[in-house]
Amino acid sequence: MTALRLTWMLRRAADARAFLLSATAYALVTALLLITLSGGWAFLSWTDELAGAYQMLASVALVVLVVPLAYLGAAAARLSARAQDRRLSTLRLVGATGAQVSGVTVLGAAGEALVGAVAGAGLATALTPLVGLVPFRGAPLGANLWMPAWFVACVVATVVLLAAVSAVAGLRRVLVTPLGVRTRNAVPVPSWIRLVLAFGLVVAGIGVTNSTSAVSAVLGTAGVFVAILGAFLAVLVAINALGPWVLKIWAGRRAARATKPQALLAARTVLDDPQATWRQVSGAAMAGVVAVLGGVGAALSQGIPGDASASDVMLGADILRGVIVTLVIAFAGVAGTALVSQAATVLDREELGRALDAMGIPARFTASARVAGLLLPLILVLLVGIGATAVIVFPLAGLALIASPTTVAIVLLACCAGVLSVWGAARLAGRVARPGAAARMPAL
Amino acid sequence: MTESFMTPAPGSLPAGATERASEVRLRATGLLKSFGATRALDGVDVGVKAGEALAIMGPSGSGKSTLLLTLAGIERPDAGSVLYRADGRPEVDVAALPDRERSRLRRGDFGFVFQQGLLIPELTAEENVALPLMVTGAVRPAALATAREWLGRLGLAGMEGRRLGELSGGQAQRVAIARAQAGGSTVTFADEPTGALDSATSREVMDLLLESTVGRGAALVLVTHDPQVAARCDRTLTLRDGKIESQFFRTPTTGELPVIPAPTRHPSLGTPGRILRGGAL
Repeated sequence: MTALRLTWMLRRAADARAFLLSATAYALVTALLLITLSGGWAFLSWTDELAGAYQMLASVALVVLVVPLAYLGAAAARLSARAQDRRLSTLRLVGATGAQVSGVTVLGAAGEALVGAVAGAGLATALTPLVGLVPFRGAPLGANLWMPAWFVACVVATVVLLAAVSAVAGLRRVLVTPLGVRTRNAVPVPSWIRLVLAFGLVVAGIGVTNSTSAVSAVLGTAGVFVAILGAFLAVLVAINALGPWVLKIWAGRRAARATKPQALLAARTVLDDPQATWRQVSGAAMAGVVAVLGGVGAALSQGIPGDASASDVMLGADILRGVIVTLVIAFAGVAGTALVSQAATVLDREELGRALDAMGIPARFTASARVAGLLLPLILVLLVGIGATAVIVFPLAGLALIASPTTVAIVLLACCAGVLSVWGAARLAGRVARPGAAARMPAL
Repeated sequence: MTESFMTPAPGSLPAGATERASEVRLRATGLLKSFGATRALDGVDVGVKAGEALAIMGPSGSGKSTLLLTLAGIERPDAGSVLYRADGRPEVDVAALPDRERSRLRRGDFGFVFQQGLLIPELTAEENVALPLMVTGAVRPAALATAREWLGRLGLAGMEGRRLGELSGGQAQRVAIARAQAGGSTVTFADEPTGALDSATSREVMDLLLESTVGRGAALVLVTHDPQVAARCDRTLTLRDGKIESQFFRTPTTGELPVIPAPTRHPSLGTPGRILRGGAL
């Protein structure tokens, strides 16, 4: 029997809620990716003397958005793989070969991703006229946002391909034997390696940004462009290497000091898998960096009222608009990741949840611990992102506050709105994954 | 340590426990419960006394789990009542209480032991036991002290900091027993508490379950498929098609529910001092 036929036969055995969740996640990631790319596409259509600056800023925004969108895609792939684990062990027990199991896994994941990605492309198409109303350089982006159909199809195909590759990678992490499926023991990366890696990347990033004249002499303007993007990417990698380690230390201290049961459970949840928590909140750290850098840039471009030229004011307003758009997409990615990951947790813990409910520990208790386990790290990494970047650009940040306090306030308000959206997504996850009326206590 | 979870040492009978042993804790009458066209409970009458261990047996689908859930106030019967009497409080009909009150009752008065233990995997053994106490308002140091005391008495001294993945099935079930008892529950409900264990561990877990419940004058209601587990209880109720098919009393009675004397009545429990290393017996 072919893997395709097996996949078709097993489709009814799949958990409908898990399927809907991972398809929704793929839809979100595709929609956000297409909207982001359409912005870049619009910027690329400009060819005048200011186009380079705008394209540079758009590239930075794209690099920043890679992280939350990649984690959202990874969350979808992980949920999809988890939903298939039970089916895989059943398959192996009834005598399916390793190749058939792998085939079913890849086809199942690709099928979910295809459904989600096509829906996401539809969503992005529906939203594009709205996004087109956003003005840059004094005029709405409008029709410049529309990308050719072949390009959209390529993005959809890429999402499906990455989902299939992720499923294969997931299979490498589990042992599929006739006795079932179990996870291989992963070897965690030691904290000192993370520290050394992060330190090295930051030093390299600072080195590159401080040697732009030398880079320019050797590689030209395009080289500087690539070098700055590379340096920015290096800092982001450094943040990603350090993030889980910082969360682990913070959660350890909170777990030791917690007096409320929710706080204890929330801290232990983070401590249990700091990497998993980091995957859900890291987009906020990137958002923090962008908020400060972009906010400062926008404020200083607009300058002290009456002091700046009209083109500076327009550039400042455009940077501010770009920062807000980037923050909206980054937080949408974080909120999507939160929705998918938290709903997956609720689904995984269905039996434990019912047991706690039987013991008289209400669902709202576990829900508040779950939300706190996400929201507090989120606020922490956002504040660290904002704080660390503000310290690095301290004199400029101070000037920005004097030059245009309104701009700084708008950026900070956008961050608060982002945090609220993630809170909403985490709360919604509990409702989305709520067991149906037919669900009963399986073993008390 | 707060008053709300000050419990006697496991294995020791609190003052007055022998007198209270004749008191009916739970009395269900005329229980009817249907799921669609299936009648899960069809006019069941049952009572459980303080210090009594009641086993519920029956084939799959006979209604035994539904009976357990209904007695515990998790399922609401379509008809009938479940009267619960606690020391110093007026009798209440569990089935008629609003959801919030039933949750409060389960949190404060009842204990639960599940087939798979169902511990919270991120928490350590002692935190798993302490968490329900903290939810009821106990401060963390006191809750942890009580948890450590119970874990020690159940033979898990030195394992307080271990998490679910670092415990064997039997050890995890002992943590679950400690969690069910640490709040001073008057009735403990257990569904196949030894179902996932080998026979030697199963005997050990039953020893501890009986000792920590009936051994301190509390009631135990358990569902089991295992006749050897049921034989350890004072009374066995067999259900079929939602009705009581038979009742078996482990001791001769005069038609009344048996009066449970001190825990030494269970010779199979062995020497309490052996089982409960920190026990006061």
